[in-house]
Amino acid sequence: MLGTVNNSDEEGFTFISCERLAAGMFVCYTEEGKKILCRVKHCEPLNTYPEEFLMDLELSADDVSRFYGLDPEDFKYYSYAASVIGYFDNAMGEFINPRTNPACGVKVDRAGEDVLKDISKVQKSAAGSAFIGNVLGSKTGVVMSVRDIVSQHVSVIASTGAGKSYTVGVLVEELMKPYNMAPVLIFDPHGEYSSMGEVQNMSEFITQSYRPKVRIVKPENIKIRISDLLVGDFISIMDDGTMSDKMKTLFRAAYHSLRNNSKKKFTRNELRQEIEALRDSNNEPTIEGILWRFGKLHANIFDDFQTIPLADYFKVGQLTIMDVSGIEETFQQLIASVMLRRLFDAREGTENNRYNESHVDKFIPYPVFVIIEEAHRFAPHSGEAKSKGILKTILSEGRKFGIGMCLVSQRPSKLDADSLSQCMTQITMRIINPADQQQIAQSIESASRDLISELPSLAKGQAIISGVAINTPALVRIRKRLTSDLKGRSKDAPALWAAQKVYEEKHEPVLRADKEMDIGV
Amino acid sequence: MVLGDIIRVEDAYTYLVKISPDAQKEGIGRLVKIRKHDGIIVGVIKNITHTIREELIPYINPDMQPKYAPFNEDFRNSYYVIHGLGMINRGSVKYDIESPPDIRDTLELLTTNEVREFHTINGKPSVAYFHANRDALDKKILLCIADQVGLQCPECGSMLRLVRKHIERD
Repeated sequence: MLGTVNNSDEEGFTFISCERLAAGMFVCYTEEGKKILCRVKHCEPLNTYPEEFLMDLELSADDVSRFYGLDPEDFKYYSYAASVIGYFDNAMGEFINPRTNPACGVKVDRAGEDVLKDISKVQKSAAGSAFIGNVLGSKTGVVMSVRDIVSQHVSVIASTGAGKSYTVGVLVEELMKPYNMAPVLIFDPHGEYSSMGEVQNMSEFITQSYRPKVRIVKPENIKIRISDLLVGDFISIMDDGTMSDKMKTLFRAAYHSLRNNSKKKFTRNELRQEIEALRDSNNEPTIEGILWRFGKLHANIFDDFQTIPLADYFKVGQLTIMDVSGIEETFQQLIASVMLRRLFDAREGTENNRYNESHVDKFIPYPVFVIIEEAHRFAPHSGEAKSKGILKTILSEGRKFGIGMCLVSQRPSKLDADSLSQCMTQITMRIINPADQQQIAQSIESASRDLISELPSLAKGQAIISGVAINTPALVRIRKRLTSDLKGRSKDAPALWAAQKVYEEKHEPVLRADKEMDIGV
Repeated sequence: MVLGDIIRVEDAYTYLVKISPDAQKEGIGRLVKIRKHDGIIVGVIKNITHTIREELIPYINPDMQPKYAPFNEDFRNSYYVIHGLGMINRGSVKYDIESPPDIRDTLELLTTNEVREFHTINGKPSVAYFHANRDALDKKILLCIADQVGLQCPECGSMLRLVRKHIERD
């Protein structure tokens, strides 16, 4: 037994215990034969030492208390505030709040495995399960529902160095396991997921009939097909702030004319010709201005024919990592925008039977999962990004068509609030910035707001998991990743400088006098 | 030296002592003892009262009382109010009174050795009766006791300093 209930009010109840319990920890009591799960909110000492007894660093407060006639054991008791979560109803598959607090004098105990197991919606290693870690302070595993993650999206939010990419790696590992075989794409602006390729050769992922594939698409191999761009995309590429309304109008006219001529796919030359066709004596300078800016479309990223091959990227049991590191940010947004637009069209068309096997690169007859790193760049809170519109569309409508999104960011206050709120499962790790904490508090479900105050004190690898993928919010210790995470780790700068110095001293070029070099001409 | 005799026991912890006319006068807060057959009851002078015999009051002009009273000790009486703190029984110290003193038991000053003995529990200095008596005794009395303990048990000076601070601020 941990303690005894001594009081309750509309906020919850308090119990007295001499044990040290962490905030967020699970406890339980029994009522009418049912174990009622509760969560510790905060604690304060039941009695405090007289302040004067703490004023001499050489003396122990216990010794002074005993000297004065106080029992030091009185100061070892704490009053814990806790809230009731409820009892697990197997028929309903969720925790039911009894809507009463425990009576005074009721004994409170640590929540054991028999109660904590109900936090998980799915059993570990079952189909559709993602074992993410253990309940903090317990050995009970927390298993998220892959079905809920994919259908209702997930966010992974953490400050730099808190273990965000590590956690995404754990999630991806679970999605690639034989009991999931998910088609996953990671949009990787920093190129830090290449080590996920190790899953191809690890026994945990291989069965007789299954072996995951990992495809890493390097920046130089990523192309945007010209005809995949919308008129707004073209204008944003070409416009450096000096493009006049007349230029935009004429360009739009050329674009729509090309589209209306049933030219679903067109080349840059064809578009240029269409622009030229609009030339007359009145708009020469305008046309020249458009054509001058049109040159930007000859950047390496654009191609007349090559595009993002959706069907190749989204295959069951395949992880595709689009490494967009080194590509400038506006082009990264454009790539994401084009890829997501085409993906949405493919999934929507497939679900609505507009596309079949004959539609190459449009027929994707299964749900897919896309992970967007640095999501605040692609759906910023303020300002525009090419990808924001389609991202919001997928987040709000993707459920119907089986596109699951994972938004990963270290600055939730810079991430579009609507987008974040559409992620119905949240993995929140250490957040220090008050603005970011505020944003999280507004988007997270109310039951886990008590845990928001824990965010700054979470250690690396600890997370608050909340939302539809588990039955109740929990503080979790993320499990050890099976693949390596070298690229995500912080650099040990002093060690690397010292190593470089040693290297330079070892390989210092020998200087010779000029006359020795003189071989005559 | 005998300070007086117990003339009344109010309760287990409160005793009235009539001061002997020729005894030296002690102040409030002084540690005292009352001998028993198997040990001593340790107490502290909590209060001092002076009275005049009621039957003589009508015969003394109120204006003259301050002038004449000191010279007429026949009708003036002085009393100590003693508060019991604990006992020393056969070398064992207890901060509790199991049986109060009897009428006519004599009151004496606690010796320096006895002060030290009473404030040592399990070989360690202690004033553990302070907390239990914080309502019964005025803070000045407790501070006075602390001074006497500090003189006889200098090794607990640091702790006494904190306890004094606590009493003063309480």
